[in-house]
Amino acid sequence: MKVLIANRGEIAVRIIRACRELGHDSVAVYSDVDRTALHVRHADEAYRIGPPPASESYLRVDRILEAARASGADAIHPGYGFLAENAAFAREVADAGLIFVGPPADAIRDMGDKIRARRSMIAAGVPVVPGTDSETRMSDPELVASAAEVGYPLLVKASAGGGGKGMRRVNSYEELPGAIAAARREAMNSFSDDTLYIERLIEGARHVEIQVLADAHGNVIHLGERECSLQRRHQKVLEECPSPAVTPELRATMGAAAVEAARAVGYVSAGTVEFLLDANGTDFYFLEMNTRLQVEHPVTELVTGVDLVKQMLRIAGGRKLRITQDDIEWNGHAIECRINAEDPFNDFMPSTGRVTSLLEPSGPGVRVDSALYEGYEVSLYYDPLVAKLCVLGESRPDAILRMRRALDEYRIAGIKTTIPLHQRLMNLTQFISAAYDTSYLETHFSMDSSTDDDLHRIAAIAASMLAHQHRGDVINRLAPSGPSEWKRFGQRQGMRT
Amino acid sequence: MKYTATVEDRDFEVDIDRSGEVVVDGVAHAVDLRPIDGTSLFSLIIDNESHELLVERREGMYYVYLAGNRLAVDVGDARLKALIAMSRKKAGETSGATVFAPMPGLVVKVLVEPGAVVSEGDGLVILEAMKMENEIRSPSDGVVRLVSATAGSAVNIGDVLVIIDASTDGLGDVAVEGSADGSAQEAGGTSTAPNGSAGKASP
Repeated sequence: MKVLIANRGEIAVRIIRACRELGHDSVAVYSDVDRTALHVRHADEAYRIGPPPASESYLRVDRILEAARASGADAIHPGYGFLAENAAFAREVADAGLIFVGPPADAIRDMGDKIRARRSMIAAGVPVVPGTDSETRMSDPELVASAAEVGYPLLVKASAGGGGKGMRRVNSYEELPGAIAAARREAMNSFSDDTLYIERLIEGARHVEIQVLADAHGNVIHLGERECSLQRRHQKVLEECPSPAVTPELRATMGAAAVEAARAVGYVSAGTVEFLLDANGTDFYFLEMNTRLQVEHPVTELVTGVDLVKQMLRIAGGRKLRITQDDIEWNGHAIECRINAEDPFNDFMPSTGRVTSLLEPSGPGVRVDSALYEGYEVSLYYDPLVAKLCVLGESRPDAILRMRRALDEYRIAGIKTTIPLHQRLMNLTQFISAAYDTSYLETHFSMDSSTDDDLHRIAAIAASMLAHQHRGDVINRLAPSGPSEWKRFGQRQGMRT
Repeated sequence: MKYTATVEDRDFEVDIDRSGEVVVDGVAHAVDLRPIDGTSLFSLIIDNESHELLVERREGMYYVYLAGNRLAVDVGDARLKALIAMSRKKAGETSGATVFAPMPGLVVKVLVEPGAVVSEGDGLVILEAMKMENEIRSPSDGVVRLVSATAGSAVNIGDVLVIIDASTDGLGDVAVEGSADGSAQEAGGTSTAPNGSAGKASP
């Protein structure tokens, strides 16, 4: 089989690796800024699909299909993001006589429209968060009116949404009009659809999601949960498997609900059913289904030993699942830290530039999925996620200690990354005791500097030595030739000029 | 050479002699600092304790990234700073904050107009980058003199978005300069380049 990967970055590299291990040929596509990206370098074939903006390259269905035809690919794997949850794309791929490595277009459509998904989950008996379920697009006044019934605090969400885009928390009636306007604008920009709905905000809830695998022969299994409660601006920051809040009994109950959810839409391939788990750890509510491979899929792979990308490719080839529910065991504890090109000390501003130095952690129990190499240029055109660092430990404490060690080994110079954020998290009492919810990072956490005097002394020594060197350089540079105030100044100060 | 290194609120007296011995607050240390990548990554051994750190130099400050911390270090060297300031003055630079685009992106919304009085931390421009909206805030109190950002336009890293006069004295000469398509050149004469001293390097 020849597989075209309609994506870039670390996930394209991940899929190419699975292809290679299965003996499939891989075809990369790239925009002009990605000519030397790792996915292009790793693939068997590579096709240019346009200029840097995603709308002119990775979102161009016509060019991707053209590359598929030109390369003679049999299948297209969409990865995550870009076209991964675009039902029209999945349909066009099928219509072109190619295999879409993912669910049927109808399942993407049914789950992608969040309002429709809520309605079908209610029909299937899967619990959902209280909110609005109007079949038609609600106007601003209708949203305002129904907000009173749902109650505050609440969330305004985009029906086409995902990843926190087009979503706003609203604490009171006064904030509602502004939130609706902002959510509509963001939803229109991101999804070209500004249909909104309202859900009650479950305070103190955890974000727990269940991985499912379904083949085209009616077999559906779940691979347990992932804990994704550490979030910032509704973007996941760190994930774990298993969740410290989930007992084996709850896992079985939530897993069964996830399997029902998948069956309700005729799901095939790997998918993830997201739930909110309330603060008591007993009641859970369907949030949405991600009809694709997840960013955080590696933690499930590490703990279950199942290669999800290979399973997707096998299922896409029409084969039956070889594993049954009884085969799935959870061994050890895995953590994933998302390494973003963002400055955690400056309100997580995106950081761009050339990676001047890179040293990735390795050794026992460490897995790095990355798009980085020395000389790689991080551009602003795409998602800030540049790498994922995962560890597997025998237990949760063991995994935390291993993650600390791995983060300490990780060196990325030239761009700012979220490594310091994760170093802080790994030492945080609330994280270690697993006492956090989805609002924790934004309400209780800061990147304020440590007050450790030893660290301060080390910094003082390093900075003074560099200042000393710099002073020599400045004096040399400012000094015109011949005797001068500058030169005498330098000599008086005992500088090597 | 004696330096006063201020880390957060704590002062360290650091004396570096020609041989490389470093005395910190009266205690001598054997110190060996080696560059790794030639720009920002360093290996530092202090009395056989091994550390690795990223260091960034910006606007005369050193930012040391160490064990999940970013420590801002101000290395006091009063005489050198005075001389650099003098050479800048000669070069004809003026004061006033210029707000640059910290990243390439799309201007979603401009929140201020020329003449507006702003406080430190007030939002100036909303910039969309990497699919997220980022609010660019004012670095100081003052009066908006120039707004070069326009909603819907793309900007590059380092493009001037807004120029703010440090005090409210300049209210009189505000109106005329509010042109829409201003770019970096327009502000070139008025902004304070952080590395302004380097301009005088080659005679």
